[in-house]
Amino acid sequence: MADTVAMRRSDRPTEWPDGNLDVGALRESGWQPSPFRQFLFKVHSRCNLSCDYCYVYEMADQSWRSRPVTMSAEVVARASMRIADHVTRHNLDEVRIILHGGEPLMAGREFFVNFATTVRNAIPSDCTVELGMQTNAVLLDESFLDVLLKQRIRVGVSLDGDRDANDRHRSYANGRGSYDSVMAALRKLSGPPYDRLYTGLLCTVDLKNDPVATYEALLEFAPPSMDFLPPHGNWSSLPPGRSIDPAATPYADWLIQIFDRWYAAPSRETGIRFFEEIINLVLGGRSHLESIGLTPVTLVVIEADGVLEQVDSLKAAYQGAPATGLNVFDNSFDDALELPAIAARQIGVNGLCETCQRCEVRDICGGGLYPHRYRDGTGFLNPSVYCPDLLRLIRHIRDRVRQDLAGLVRA
Amino acid sequence: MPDVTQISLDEVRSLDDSVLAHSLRRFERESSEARDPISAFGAFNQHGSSPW
Repeated sequence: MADTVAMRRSDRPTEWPDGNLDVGALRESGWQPSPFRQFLFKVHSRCNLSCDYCYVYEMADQSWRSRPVTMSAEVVARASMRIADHVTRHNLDEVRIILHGGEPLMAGREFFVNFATTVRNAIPSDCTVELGMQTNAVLLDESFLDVLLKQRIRVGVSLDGDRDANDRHRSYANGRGSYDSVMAALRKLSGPPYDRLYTGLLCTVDLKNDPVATYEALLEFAPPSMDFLPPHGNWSSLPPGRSIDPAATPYADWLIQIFDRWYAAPSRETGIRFFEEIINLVLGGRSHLESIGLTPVTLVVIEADGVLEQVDSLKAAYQGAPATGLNVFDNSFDDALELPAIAARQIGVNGLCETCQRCEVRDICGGGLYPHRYRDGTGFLNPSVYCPDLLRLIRHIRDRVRQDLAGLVRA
Repeated sequence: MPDVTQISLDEVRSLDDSVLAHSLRRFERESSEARDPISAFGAFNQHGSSPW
């Protein structure tokens, strides 16, 4: 992996941040990194679905091919020890541990029991450990739910809307859609006693779908929260339906229809994560999401072989994009905090390009999701490829909230 | 921009069940916390076989 990083840097010497962000100078100026508080474990490197937009298997980075299928107990134990050291060193009172893949449920029930036990036993008892996972849910039967309930592992599920919308992209390798399997799992997850585990639904946007119908199809499963994720892309590989025309805002147009439907409901029907973060930022609060706002990103990925990586959605950019050259056997998490690529996500407005620095919605937008800023040759110091959409959506939400707040203040 | 601090806590608590009311309660709650935010719904981000 160190070779990968060396190759990446020599191949891309002009790209920001690896080629030209000086962490030493940042340190000398008084900047301090924020410790990691979210640890995402790639517990299984394969998947039982073949979604056509998947950034793990279908995009630039193909590192999954060389990973072990399942994370070993040794890697889990070593990573847990490193997290415990990090918690102690930085006096953290809470950390989030996320099981991820591939498809994490493919690791099996016994793995989940051992994983949760190892992690919780390693981390100091005065630090709250929250365990969660994101799954396609096709293996989520009652016996697995019983394990998750006993181990207190919360569950988010991926679903793209109604049957047609979901099965257009989220299918098995033989082409059969996954909707029926997911629906069966969600019926169980959304009812007692398992509903206490249910965190919500993630839906990848397809502009072909009707937005309000998509929202209402997801609502049928009573999610506590949901989110709509634009498909990955960047300036060198445009997302579907997104052109370089700054006047075109197809994703904002799509999302605004859902926002207006959701926001105007007399009683809140569910949370929509991205919209709620924008509202909180408009009010003067801080974002909890890496895709919006300027809150330092404090997440690190542990691959199935123990290698440390940056956020895994960077796999959409180019081969080796998430690599750090570090691993849990040889390195502490503090070592990762010294990397330009990690620091770049923790320096607020100083990590934004000039266009973003001058933008009227800079502190709300925060430049958008980092992988969406990539351009071959210059790296990540660019606006998001979704910039026109973000600007229109944020203005729409900001203006609506301002208008309603004005009414409240007058009252 | 209307100043959200002009709305009293009692007013915020007495608001209806709308999205804006929920947002104001969250803002008020988090404003009293010194800690850095951690994602309320998993780490973050994205989809494919492996969203979040």
